[in-house]
Amino acid sequence: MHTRVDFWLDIALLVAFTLDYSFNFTGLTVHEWIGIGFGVALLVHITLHWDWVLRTTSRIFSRLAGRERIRWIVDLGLMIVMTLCVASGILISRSALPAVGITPVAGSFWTGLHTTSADVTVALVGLHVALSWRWILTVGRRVLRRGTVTSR
Amino acid sequence: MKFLRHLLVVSAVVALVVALGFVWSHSGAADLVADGGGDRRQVSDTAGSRAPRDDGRFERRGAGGISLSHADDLVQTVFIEAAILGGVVAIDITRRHRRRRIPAA
Repeated sequence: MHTRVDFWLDIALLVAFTLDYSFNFTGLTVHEWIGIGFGVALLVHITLHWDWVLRTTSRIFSRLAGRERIRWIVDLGLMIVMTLCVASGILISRSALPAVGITPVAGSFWTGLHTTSADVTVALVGLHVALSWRWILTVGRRVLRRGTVTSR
Repeated sequence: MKFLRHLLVVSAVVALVVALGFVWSHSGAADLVADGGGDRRQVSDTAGSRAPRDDGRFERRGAGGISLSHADDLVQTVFIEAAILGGVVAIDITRRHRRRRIPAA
């Protein structure tokens, strides 16, 4: 059950980020609301994997295979830039937050940070997904067949 | 219960990263991102003032909702992610094949 939720949440996050990065396709309003929803889903995603984060972090400087070490570095970088991307997006919101009566702070730093972090994120998302491609393939097959699924 | 506990910790970590962002915005290193960079940077005007590079994008596509005529932007994003994914998967498969071919010493 956990793996099934995990799988579909991962797919939803990937689709949401892909749509959100395509700013000219979504337009500002849809872009901002997807971004806010993405931020919440991201919190859930990291929470679901927190055990893995703790387990891997405790082994990072000792007995961790190269692949796992790369995954840990990519994931750490992704968490930082995605957090900055979502936070800066909220801080420069021109449509979503003003619509609910909140006037966010604006500034060239946060606008620049939002675009720069988004550009780094798109590369790291590709790497993040790619480093788990076997898991995605295995679980994807099982989930689509509605069979039993194993934990990552 | 465990989920809520973890959610609390993750929220604290996220808050810490955002706080570091605020520290960055007030530091001398803020100029590293303040005027953007890369392909979408706005060209400086004759006076040399620099606009944030996203301004052009915001002006072009405001609150109009999803526009199929701008689907090329979506295709470009999918292409970038597919290229990275394909590259890593290809390297991974090649490495595994090579490892299988080389007998253990």
